[in-house]
Amino acid sequence: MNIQMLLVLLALALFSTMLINTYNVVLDQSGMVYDNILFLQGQKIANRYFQRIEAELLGDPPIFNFSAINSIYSNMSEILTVNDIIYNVQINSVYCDSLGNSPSADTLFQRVDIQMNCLSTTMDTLYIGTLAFPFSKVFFYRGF
Amino acid sequence: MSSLLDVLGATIVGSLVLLMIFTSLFNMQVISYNTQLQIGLTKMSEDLITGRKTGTFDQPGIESILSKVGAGVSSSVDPIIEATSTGFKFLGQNSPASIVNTFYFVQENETSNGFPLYVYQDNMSNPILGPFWMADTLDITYIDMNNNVINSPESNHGLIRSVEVSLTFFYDTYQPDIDRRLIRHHIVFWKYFKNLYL
Repeated sequence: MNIQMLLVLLALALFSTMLINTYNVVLDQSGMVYDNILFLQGQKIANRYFQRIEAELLGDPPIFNFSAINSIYSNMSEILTVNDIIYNVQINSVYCDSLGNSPSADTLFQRVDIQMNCLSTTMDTLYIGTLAFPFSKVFFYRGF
Repeated sequence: MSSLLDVLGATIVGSLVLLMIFTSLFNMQVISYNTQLQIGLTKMSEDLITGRKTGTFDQPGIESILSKVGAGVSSSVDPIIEATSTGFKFLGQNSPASIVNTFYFVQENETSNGFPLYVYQDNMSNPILGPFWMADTLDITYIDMNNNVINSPESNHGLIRSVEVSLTFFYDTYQPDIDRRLIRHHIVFWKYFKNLYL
C-alpha cells in the first residue's frame, strides 16, 4: 500500500513538472513573438533616422551639410514613445572609410550607428541594436 | 468498506489531476494558436509595408509607393492633392520612363469587418492593394522640414516633407475563455519624401 501511494505521488510529481515545463516553454515562445514585434518597431525607428539624415543631406543647398550631420548626430540621445512603449534611442556618428571602418582621417564618409532599448514583454530590457552590433549606415560627402 | 473509500478517494484525486492536465493543455493550445495568428498578422503587415515577391512579380509595399511622392512632377505643380489623417492622394512617377500617376492611400468607411485600407493608382474605383482590415482608423501625421507636426496639412501642402503612418491590423479570435482578445498588430512607420527636399 505504501509503495503504491509512493508511486502515485511520484507520477503526480512527474506529470505536474512536465506540464509546468511545457507551459513555460509555450509562454516563452509567445513572449519571444511579442518581443520580436518590439524589435520590428525598433527597426522602423532606426530607419526613420536614416531617412531623415538622407533627406537633410539632399537639396542644393541641403538643410544640413555633411559636417553638421556629424556634429548633430555624434552623440545624440532621444526618447521616443511609440504605441505606448518608450524607446531610448542612442545615435552616434563617426567619420570612416568607404567600408565603414573607423576611426578614419578621411572626412568623405561617415557612419551613423543607432541602438535603442525598451521594456520587453517580460519586463526585462530589450536591446534593439547594441554597441557592438548597432544599425549602421554609411553616408557619402556630395560636396556640401 | 475501507476499500470502497479508497477507490472513491482515488477516483476523486485522479479526476482532479486529469482536469488540471486537460485545462492546462487547452490553455496552452489557445496561447499557441494566438501566437501563431500573431506571427501571421505581423508577416502580413510587413509584406504590406515593405512589399513582397510572388514568383517573379514584385508587389510594391506602401513604403515604396509613398517614396514616389513628387517624383517626375514639375515644380509648378503641387504634387499633393489630398492630405488628411485618413487619406493621402499624391502625384508621382512609377519609373523615370512612365507617366505621372495619381496614387491614393486611404482608409474608407467602417464596416462590420473593421476599417478597410486601400491603395489606388489612377483608377479610383479599382484598388491596386486592399482591402486590409484595421481595428482602428488610419492615422497619418504630416511633418514639415524641421520635423514639426503640421496641424492643418490640407491647407499647407507646401510644408509637407514626411509622414508618420500608424496602422493597427487585427484578427478576431474565437476562443470563449482564456486569452480572449483581438489579435492586434500596431505598427508605426515614417516616410521622408526625398523628392520634396530636392
